[in-house]
Amino acid sequence: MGGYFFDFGFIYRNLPIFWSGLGVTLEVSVLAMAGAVVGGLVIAFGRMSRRVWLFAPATAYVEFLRNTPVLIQMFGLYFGLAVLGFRLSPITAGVLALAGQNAAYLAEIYRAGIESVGRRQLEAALALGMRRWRAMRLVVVPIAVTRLVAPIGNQLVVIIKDTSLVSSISVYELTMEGKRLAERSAATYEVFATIAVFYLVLTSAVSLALRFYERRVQLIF
Amino acid sequence: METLGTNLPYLLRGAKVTVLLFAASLALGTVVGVGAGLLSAARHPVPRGIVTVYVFLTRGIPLLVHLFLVYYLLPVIGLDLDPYVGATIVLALYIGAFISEVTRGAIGSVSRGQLDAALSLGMTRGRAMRKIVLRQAVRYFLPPYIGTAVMLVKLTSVVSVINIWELTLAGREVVERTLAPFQIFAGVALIYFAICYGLSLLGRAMERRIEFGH
Repeated sequence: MGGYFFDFGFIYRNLPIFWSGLGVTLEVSVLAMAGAVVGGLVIAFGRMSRRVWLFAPATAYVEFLRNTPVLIQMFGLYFGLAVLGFRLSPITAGVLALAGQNAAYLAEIYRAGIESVGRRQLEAALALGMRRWRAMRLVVVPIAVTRLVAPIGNQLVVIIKDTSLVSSISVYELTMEGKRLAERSAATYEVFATIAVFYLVLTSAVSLALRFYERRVQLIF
Repeated sequence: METLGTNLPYLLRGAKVTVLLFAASLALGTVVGVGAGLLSAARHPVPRGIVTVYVFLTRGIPLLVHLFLVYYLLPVIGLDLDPYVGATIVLALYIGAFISEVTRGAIGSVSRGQLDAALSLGMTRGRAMRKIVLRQAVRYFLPPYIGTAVMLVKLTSVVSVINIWELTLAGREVVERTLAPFQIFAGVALIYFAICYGLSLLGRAMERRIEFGH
C-alpha cells in the first residue's frame, strides 16, 4: 500500500524502547526539579540579602543564566568543562544545566512571592511577639507558597520539556530513543507523534497535580 | 582568547541569522498569538475551545519534538519547504501559544467594571472592547510580552539540533575546528546575553514611556 497511515503495530512492537527512554526522561526531570527547587531558594535569599557580597553574585547569576540558552549552558558544561579537566557524564551535565537555569527562574518566583506578602504581615507577626525567623517560617513563607504554586508548576513543566534537549549531548532519553528508532525505520512520523503524546501526558500530569494541590492549600489559608 | 577573536566574525554572522529567525518568528507569532488571545475572550465556546486545544498541544510538548514532527512530516505529505521557512513557522506557532496566554492575561487584568461602565454609557460591545478594555490591557501586556520575546531568542538555538545554521550551530562548527569548546561557547553565550539583555532593557524603556502616557 502506497498511502500513509498511522502504524500502531509498529509503535506497539517498539514500546520497550519508549519505556526505556521515558525512564531516563523521568530520572533527568526529577533530579533537575529537585536541584532547581532547592538551588532557587538559596539564590532567592542571596537576591533579597542586604549584604552586597551575597546580593551581587546572586543577581549576576540570575541575569546571566536567564539570558542565555540552556542548550549553550549544556554544551559549556559538557564539552567546555571537559577541556578544563572536569569530565562530567552527559546525564550529570544535562541535569546541572537544567537545574542551574531553572534555579535562576525559581529564585525570582520565590522572591516575588515573598515580597508580595509584604512587610505588614511580617510586622504583624513580629508585633505578636514572634521572632523574625519564626515569623518568616510560620507566616510569610506559607502565604507566599499558596500564591506560588501556579508559577512554580509552570516552571516544572518547562523542566520536563527542556529535558528533551539533553538528547543533543547524547543522553538516551525519550527524544533521543525516538530519533534513533525513527532513523532506522520508515515510521518516522508515528514515532514522533507517540513521543509527543508521552510528553503531553507527563506535563499534564504535573499541571493537574499542582492545580489539585493549589486548591487544597487555598482551602487551608 | 585568540581563537575566539579570529572566529568572532563567523559567530557574528550566525548571530545575524539568529536575530532574523527571531524577528520573523516573533512578528508571525505575535499576529497568531494576539489573534488567539482575542479569540479566547470571545463569548462563543467554539473559538475558545480551539484556542484551548492549540495552547494545550503547544505548551505540553517540547519545541524539539515539534521541530522533529514537522521535519519528518513534510516529506511524507510531499511538501518541499525551505528549512528556514519551516523553522520560522514552527517557532512562530510555538511562541504564539505563549503570546496568546499573555494576551488573555492582559485582557483579564482590566477589571470587569470598566467594560460594564462602557456598555452602560451606550457603547457597543466591540467599541467598548477596543476603546476601553484593550487600550488599558496594553499596559499589562508589555512586560510579559518582552519576557516571552527573550524566551524566543533562546528557543531559536534549538533549531540547530535539526541542522539549521544559526549562532548555536556556528558555535558547534567552530568548536569542531578549533577544539576550544570552553572559550567558544562562552563567547556564544555572551552574544546571546547581549541580544536578550538588550531586548529586556528596550522593553523596560518602552514600559516607562507607556506609563508616562497614562
